[in-house]
Amino acid sequence: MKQPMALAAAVVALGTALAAQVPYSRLVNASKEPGNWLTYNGTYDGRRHSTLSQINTSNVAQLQPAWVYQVRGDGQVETSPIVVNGRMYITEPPTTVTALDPRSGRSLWSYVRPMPSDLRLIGFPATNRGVAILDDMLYVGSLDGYLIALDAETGAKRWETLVADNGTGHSVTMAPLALDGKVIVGISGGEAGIRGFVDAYDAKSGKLLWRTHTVPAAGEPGVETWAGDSWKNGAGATWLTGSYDPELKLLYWGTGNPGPDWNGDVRLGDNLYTSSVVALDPDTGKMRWHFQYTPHDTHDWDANQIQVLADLQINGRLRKTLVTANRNAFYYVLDRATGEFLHAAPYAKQTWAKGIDAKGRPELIPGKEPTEEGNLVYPSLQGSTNWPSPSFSPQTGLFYVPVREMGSYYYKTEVEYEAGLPFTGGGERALADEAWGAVRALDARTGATVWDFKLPSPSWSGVLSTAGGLVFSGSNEGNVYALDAKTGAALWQFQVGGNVRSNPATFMVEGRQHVSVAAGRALFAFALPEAAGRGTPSPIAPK
Amino acid sequence: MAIGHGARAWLLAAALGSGLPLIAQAQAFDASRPLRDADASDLAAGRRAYVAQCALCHGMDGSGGYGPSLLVAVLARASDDAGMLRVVDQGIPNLMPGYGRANGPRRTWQLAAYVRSITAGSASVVLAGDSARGKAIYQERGCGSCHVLDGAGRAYGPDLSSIGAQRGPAYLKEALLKPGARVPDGHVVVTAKPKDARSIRGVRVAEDVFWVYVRDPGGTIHRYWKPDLEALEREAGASLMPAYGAERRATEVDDLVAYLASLRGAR
Repeated sequence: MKQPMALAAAVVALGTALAAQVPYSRLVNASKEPGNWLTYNGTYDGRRHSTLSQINTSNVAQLQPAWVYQVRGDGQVETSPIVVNGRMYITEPPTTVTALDPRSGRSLWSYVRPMPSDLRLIGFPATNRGVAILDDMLYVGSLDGYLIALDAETGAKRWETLVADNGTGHSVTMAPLALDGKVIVGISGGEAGIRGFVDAYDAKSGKLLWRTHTVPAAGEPGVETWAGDSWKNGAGATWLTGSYDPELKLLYWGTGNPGPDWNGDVRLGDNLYTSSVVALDPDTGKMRWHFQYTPHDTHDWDANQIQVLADLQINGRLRKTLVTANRNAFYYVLDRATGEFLHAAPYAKQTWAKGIDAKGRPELIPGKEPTEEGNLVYPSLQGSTNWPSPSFSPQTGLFYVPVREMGSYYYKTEVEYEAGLPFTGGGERALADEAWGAVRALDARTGATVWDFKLPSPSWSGVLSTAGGLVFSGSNEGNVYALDAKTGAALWQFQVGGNVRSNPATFMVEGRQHVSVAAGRALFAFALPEAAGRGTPSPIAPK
Repeated sequence: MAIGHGARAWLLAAALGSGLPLIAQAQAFDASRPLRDADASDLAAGRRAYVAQCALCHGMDGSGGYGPSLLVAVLARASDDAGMLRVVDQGIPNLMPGYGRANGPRRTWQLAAYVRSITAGSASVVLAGDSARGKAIYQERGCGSCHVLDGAGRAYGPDLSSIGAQRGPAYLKEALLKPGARVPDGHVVVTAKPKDARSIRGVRVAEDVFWVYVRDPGGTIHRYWKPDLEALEREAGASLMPAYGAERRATEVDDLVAYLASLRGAR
């Protein structure tokens, strides 16, 4: 390979940067190096907020594409990148890890995992939402149910370990969360009658350190909330990345729907710890507290949405809170040290609850269960929001959430568990014609709407907020856009030609702030125009 | 919880479930029969499998949800029986699971037949109307002033050249009597109200967060930057197609349905 002379200097610089590693101390202090994007949501607190401000309200109108990377495999592109040490690490469907040069967008290597021909994807597309990095290793979950460790420098596989059997509907689609010496993994399969869990693996060896089930077994506390032995296929999948508070030493994980999804008759009771958030001791996996958002859920309202850790003034007192916009249309504020319920308010149209009582339990409106004939309820099966990340900006005190305004007719059917087949007991007929979406800014303390930026259809795009006073998001119709974080006014947009179904991230590349987002079959990076002479290293003489 | 061990477990489960040895079951069933030969009990069995395995993503009535709608003009991967059976049996790599091994050949065939029946209707249904009379009515009523049929006509409404392969008689009848009941994508009625120009009512050709394209009844496409519009009104349940009037003989509607159902394209 002939390398043009003008590139040689840059190549050398990249080589030296790679020697650095990403110890746990850097992950804990990720907010102090905003030029990198070190975890799934940028920081352990799940805020997806960056203190970068080179791109800001005064210049964002000039934002333009820097490069585009086209993925290769089939499946849905939902990746959220990690950017560090002059590398960007993304995942491609079905389970491929690719290292890119964030300066040029060129791929340097890929780890491609072949999938078995009888792969079972029950209730989700062939997707992967990203990797975790710790020291010199990358960690990725696979659709066929494994956790894999790769050398961050070369992509070489160091070890793999079976998390759970894909034959019974288990898959790993979420980005793992790396802590001190261990990797935390959740599981997908909530529509296949699995019994959910959160796992911790030794980062060096892949050995299982602990497994905490989200559904208790016979003899364990909580099993009395499951009729008969319905706990055996009780679901409670853990399919999105959790949050972590290193000071409290608590790991927060959202749990999914109980199984079967829509026929609750076969699992009478509250069905702990499904549609809940659980706080775990990262060393032992022991559950310190739990809070159930939707007891005895019959609408598939998972609570896997990002649990955001924010410190908020509540009734004149600064509290360490956990806030989340739940799929069930309510916004919740909890005390994250104790799990104490502090506040809830609806943030989207809902027709199933009169409100949330003083203990955090929903006050149900009768007659909102799925029926054989179909029963119209808001929100729809996919909820008022879903897995795309919200963002919390300490600068504005606002919580930005991608919203789905849609109702569904919910159906209930007979159901019997058959291993490796869907275990759902019904379904929906969504009112897609009347549906719409929004990026909605909520007062993080109260959940009250401060502004609303409307979209033509229910959003599948995450939200990023920055200290540049901006909020970035996307649309199903292919728009990537920037809004004024204070007012919601649109300041910039670009049509990428494919649905945006991922989370925007931001980072620095050689002094220039970039914003990346996956859309359609590609990953796009945007930046402000380069100063004259800083474009393509030129002139490159033909040889 | 029982843990399966790959494909053998599914084959075993299917065989046990049927009460027959697997080989005997496979030999007893002819999966090459045309899907339209499915009888009521096949379709009922297919529906049970659909509800248990497919409705999760495609919706209880096939109108979509997490996955795409099946009630579309052309199912690209399942345009014929072989394609439909293949997709139901094996799924689509990295997009859709196939449960053929768990279902076995009979349930797979029944499921495929059911999916075909909800998308195109069943060809074996005997229609009350007269197709030849329906063709005359199509000409007389001037349907071609908005619809293309075998290359002739004006393309304002949907192309009808193979509508009989895409929609069942019940859907076609409803579309004639209540055109707004189900409006295909690309034909939603909107009114764009610019601040300084006259309003345009027409069909929405395309829309994203910032742009909307409206085709007026004359056929011209108008482009609007949405932030500049005073309002963009979407009319739920509206269609620009006139409803087939109650003043006409009821048999005319049946005749027209019979004609439309006979249009299977020139492929």
